[in-house]
Amino acid sequence: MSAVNEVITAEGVSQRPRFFGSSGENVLLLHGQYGARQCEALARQLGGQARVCLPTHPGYDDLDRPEWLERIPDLAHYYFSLLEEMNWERVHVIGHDIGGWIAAEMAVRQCKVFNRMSLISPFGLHVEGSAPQDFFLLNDERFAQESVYQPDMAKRVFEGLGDDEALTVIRNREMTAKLGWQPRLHDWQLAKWLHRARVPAQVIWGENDAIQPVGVMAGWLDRLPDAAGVTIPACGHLPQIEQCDVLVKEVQQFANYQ
Amino acid sequence: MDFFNFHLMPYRHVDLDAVEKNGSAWVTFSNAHYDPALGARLYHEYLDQMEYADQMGFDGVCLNEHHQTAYGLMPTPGVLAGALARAVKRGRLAILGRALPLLNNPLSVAEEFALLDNLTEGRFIAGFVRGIGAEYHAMGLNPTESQERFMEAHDLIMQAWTRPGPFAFVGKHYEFNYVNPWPRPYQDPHPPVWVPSQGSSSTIEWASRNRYTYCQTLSPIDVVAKFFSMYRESAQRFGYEASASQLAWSNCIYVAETDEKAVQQAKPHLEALMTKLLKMPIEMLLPPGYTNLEAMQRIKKTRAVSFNNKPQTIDDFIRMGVVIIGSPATVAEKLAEYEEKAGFGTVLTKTQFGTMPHQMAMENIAAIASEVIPKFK
Repeated sequence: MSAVNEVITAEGVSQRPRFFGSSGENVLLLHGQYGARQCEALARQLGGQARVCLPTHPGYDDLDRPEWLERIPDLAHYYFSLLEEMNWERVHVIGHDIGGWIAAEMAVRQCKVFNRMSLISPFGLHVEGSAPQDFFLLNDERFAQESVYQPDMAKRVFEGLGDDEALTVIRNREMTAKLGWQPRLHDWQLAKWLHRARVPAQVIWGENDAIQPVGVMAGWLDRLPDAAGVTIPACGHLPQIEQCDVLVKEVQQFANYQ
Repeated sequence: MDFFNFHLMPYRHVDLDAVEKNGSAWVTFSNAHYDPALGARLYHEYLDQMEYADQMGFDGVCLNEHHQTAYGLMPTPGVLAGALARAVKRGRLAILGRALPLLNNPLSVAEEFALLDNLTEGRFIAGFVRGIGAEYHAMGLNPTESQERFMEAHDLIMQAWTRPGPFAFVGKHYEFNYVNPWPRPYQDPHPPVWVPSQGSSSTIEWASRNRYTYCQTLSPIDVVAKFFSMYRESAQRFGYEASASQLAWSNCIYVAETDEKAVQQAKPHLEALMTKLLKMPIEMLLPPGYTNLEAMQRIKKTRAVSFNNKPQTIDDFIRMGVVIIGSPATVAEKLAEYEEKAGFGTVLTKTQFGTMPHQMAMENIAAIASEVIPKFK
């Protein structure tokens, strides 16, 4: 097993993924466009009953963009290599936002690395009538407000990104644009092959998601061969901030930790 | 000095309050506000102005390219250039666009520009731009790919014009088994290339390296002078002295009998352009990845601080030397002063701007042609 804060190098990218918990099944937690920081509380709570690895996507937060990184499937291939470096063979993958999209791209290519998959407000599919909001036209403040349902939660959206918080926000948004400007955060190829993701899955959505509407959930449930949907009331695009306890309970129930 | 009549072809009948309410005339401003009967008339007015400028002694006319905006009605400048190619008899014809990264097939620009160069028998000037940030929202093109698509499209077009075809071109964004455009350009080896920019240091350096004419968009004259110095210094590093003809300043000029009359007449039209039609949120102007991280961080910070200090009235724009407005004597004097200060050999002058009506623009063209241009010949 990897030690905490060990440097892991895969595809030319070196990073120290954060680990939470020391026993139970292996969980790979893939963060969204907001950066790894926004998944820490979730990782910590899940770490009570699992071994959770929270890596940072190349190109996000303090990691430079490697030359090879241009599309979401590039990150899917990167994470296969990262899992190999860690000798993790079968994991419960959890992905939020673009992290959910990465997980789905992996599941389509090689579903045997996963024993189950939890997708939280994932990007990756287009459903007619449920297009994501054009948040690239929003300033940081509005983007934070739109990301949550409860207004007082907005200040936490970009919280704790480090000394260079403003720069990290700019970098992360640029990376998200690089990966998903057009087609806008989805891939027709994924929609075409999602039925190949033969792994038990849950798709979790905040009922009041104003970034990626809950209407997209039906697209996932239609295509995934073995999936159940969960909606969380009074919750926007960041359940791990707004409704972390409910989210953790749903994930643990799905994984039969209890 | 060479004088070009530069048209943006604004939808001058636009409801300015509606623009204000929407926050911008770009991308999200509904085209329900466009009246085809008025718009069609405008195209003819504007083309008449271009032809008139040519007849009156301007050295050329300039078109440009913007998408999905009331600011300028020229999404496809080649169509209007086609309309002008036979009517503009003596002056040169420039398109400053095209916005190369927005195109999925730059070979069509090689063809279109070569065709215009033939139609005008060598009076054509080819402009290459990245397009402002708003175009990436409007056209759905990934702004993080803007720079590399621009470079690759440029290389393809230049090869298409200078290498005997057919040959294959394999790039990251564009690939062709056969590059072999008919017609070839009329000018040998190709039409002059002009590169407009808002002052990006990498663009200035690139333009000077290739000896392309650098065109500075609407800016205070001190800033213009600084960018033109950068160009000249860069040229020296590449081993040559840049000439004034490689530097063009884009401005607005308005001439009336007296300074007071000129300011009074131009005021509503200039302010409509500067404070309504040009305005857009920073997220629209600079989508992620359009400019480098450091510049983005700097702009975000300064915009927050200085937004309210931005010049808003015609007096500010005159004082800062963004525009030249006044009597013939004042305009000639200012232009000579700015020429001395910044060292440009060409002005790209908007004689019609904002909401300015046709007759006023025609009179302005006549006044500039008869009372200003001769002093610089």
